[in-house]
Amino acid sequence: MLSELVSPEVGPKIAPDPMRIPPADLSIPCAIDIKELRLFYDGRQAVNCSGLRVEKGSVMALVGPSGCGKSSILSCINRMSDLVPNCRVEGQILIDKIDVLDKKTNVKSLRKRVGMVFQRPNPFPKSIRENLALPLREHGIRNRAMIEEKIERALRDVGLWNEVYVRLDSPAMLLSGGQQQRLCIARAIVLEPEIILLDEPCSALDPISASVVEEFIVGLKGRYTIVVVTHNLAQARRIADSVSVCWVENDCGCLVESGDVNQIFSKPLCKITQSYIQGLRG
Amino acid sequence: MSIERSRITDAAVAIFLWVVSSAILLLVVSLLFNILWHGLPHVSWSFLVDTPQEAGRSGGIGPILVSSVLILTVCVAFAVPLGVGTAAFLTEYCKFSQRTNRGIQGSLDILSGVPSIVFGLFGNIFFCKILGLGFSILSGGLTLACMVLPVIVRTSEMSLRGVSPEIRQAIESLGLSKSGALFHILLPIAVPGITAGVILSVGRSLAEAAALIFTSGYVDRMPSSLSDSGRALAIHIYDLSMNVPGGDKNAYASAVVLIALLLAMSTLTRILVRITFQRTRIC
Amino acid sequence: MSAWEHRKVFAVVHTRSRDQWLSFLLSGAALVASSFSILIFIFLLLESWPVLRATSVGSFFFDESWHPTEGLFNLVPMIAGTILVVFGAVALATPLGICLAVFQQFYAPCAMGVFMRLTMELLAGIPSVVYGLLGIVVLVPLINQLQSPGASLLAAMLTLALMILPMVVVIVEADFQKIPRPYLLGAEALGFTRWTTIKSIIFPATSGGIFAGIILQTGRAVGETMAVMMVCGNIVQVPNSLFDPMRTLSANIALEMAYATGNHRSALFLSGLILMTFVTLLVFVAGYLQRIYRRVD
Repeated sequence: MLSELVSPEVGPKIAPDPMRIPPADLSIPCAIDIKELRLFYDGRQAVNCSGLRVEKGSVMALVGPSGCGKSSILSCINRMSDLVPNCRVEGQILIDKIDVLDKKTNVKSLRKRVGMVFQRPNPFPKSIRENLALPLREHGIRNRAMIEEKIERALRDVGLWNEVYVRLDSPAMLLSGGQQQRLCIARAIVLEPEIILLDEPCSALDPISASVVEEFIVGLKGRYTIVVVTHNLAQARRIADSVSVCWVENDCGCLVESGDVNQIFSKPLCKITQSYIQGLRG
Repeated sequence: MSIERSRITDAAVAIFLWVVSSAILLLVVSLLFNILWHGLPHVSWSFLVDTPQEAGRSGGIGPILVSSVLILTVCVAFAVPLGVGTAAFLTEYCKFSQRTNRGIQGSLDILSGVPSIVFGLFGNIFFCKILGLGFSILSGGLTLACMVLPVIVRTSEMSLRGVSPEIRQAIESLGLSKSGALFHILLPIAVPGITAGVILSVGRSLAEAAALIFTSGYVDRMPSSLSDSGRALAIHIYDLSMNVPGGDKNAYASAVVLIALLLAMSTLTRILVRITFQRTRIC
Repeated sequence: MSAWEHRKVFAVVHTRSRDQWLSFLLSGAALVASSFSILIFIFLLLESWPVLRATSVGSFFFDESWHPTEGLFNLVPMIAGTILVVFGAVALATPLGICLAVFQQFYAPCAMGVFMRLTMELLAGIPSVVYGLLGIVVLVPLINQLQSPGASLLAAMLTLALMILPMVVVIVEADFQKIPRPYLLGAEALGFTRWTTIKSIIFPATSGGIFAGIILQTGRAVGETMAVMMVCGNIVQVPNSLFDPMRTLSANIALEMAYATGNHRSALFLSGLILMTFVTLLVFVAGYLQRIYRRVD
């Protein structure tokens, strides 16, 4: 049924209909401004995304079916796309008026300001303290008192401090899955970034751990700008302030609609959004 | 072929294999037993510590063990930084450049096939004559380092590549420097594998004689420095069996010591491999 | 800028220069490591040059004999010796090794199989001088009773065969273990006898890898010096029978190098060069075969 709404387009691939995306309110401070983004794998265009704006301090959920390019879009924001072989990225992503995709941008300092958390928890096989101290030392913070202070703050922010403060020197690998993922979030925020990117952070966790992690993501609102990729619409509704819906058209992922979470879920402007949301509700 | 015929063939093959394997197993075990029988009685603490007397017919192998250990130390001291460095280069800096990668691997493959006598010739020319080190423990150790280099590079490379891609993703996303990531995260994870490679190389070097005859020399006195000539255990066994009439007893005893050392190495490697697997299971 | 920020900036610069140092050191290491094989080849060539200039290539094959001090450089006896010894050893060790590996993997009861595996691994690591010692003390007197002198082509073949046998078993068994279980389960379900399974499924699947491994062992055998030197008799002649003493190319180098000078020494380096070239060729052939075998897999 959904396929009836996606009319097969004949001809060159074009950007989605501008009318589908409500005009951006340029007065709100914007942390991430994806002006245009085109991704090519092995020469074939895989993603075409334009006009995605993330408001400072808010949580934006990127939703859509598998393969529509949400994770790819996310990986471009902190240039993790550089690591993918045969991947070419074109366009402009502005963070604080600096174009992130520009070759001249210093990627290491970019990744200090934009943190990332992955689907499966990946703490280093070291102690809990070392997991958090290492990024700090690498980025120039040597003062031990300051390091301890930042570690405590990061662990409190993810609700781990009370659970682990007695065993900071024990291996991080001995933590449970949910604790490891919260440790990874702590590791991402210990550098005090402005933006945190989360790629399906709860999908590898059991429901209880997932809800704990969700709770702390919501707790970070306001202090950080957060972009979460998720295929779980209910989760998006729970934690996000705004939602962007991606879809696959002509073998190419694209941005279909973007807006406030309540508006998207109650009065979506686009038929695709409507059916996608209803499809999971109904 | 009917079922009956194939069953008969199966039985015939089984009998044949049992006979052949038992025969060879018996032969091999009796040879090993032979070595132990003739050599073990002569192995004693004084044998391990004393100097050789009467060209080695009596006395012990003390200076020889010392020379062997020194040669091995020199070998490891040069081969490990060079080998691990090359492996790190291959895994961290060479990812997208296939041609450089294949060139280095190809060169190391050739090196791993070079016969040990040719290494002896090369060591003689390069280390003894051109670098002026003469017949010395240093020359011998350096020659052996060239010989074991491919093994160390291969095992180090495998260990570094074995680090899970998720850890590498975490490293990239945190903006860690390449040097920081290598020394603080990647190498510590790879250490058990690298050590196993080192022990393997030590085992191979202990067994080596042809490469050392023309590089570290024949002198069986206690060496006083690395530039002294020294005799390795394998060469001692050769000398005693070929050039010294009546040297059999001590040749056997030295062989027992050598085999015991090799056994110890392979057990160590096995333990290390098990530790590595335990670590990766937690990871 | 506050003191803290100064330190932060300095640390960033510090890691960047540390990265540059590391990159420099690592590429240096890789350069040195990959230059050794070229260096070996070059030096061998340089040292062989004098004798190549002094005589023609033909003299290495057609001179009267090997008397380097008199300017006679016929290498044929040594080359023939090497070929015969290696051929005999590989011809002996390969079928025996395959039999042992088949037995170890498919016929031996569990404990015996484990014992055999450990024994083979131990044997594979025993130094060649110890094999030589066994050869001198056990094999040569035995052959001497059949026909003197005992130290002969046969002794060299048998010693070398014993030496490469464990490695053949280890390699073949490793290939057997790589066979995916579904193959074997399918055969069992069809009611195949053990031998039929081995003959029709396992051998075809592993023959490529086994062949490549054997070529590698041949290369190793060609380069083997110590064990052969101790039991071959060391007479420069083309052996007419199995009981004739002979000399291989590698033994020749080891024996004469100590006192060789001038063109004699140069000729020995040339034989070393020949050895290295031949073994390198074998390594490449084996590598090529392994790559094909893996692709078919």
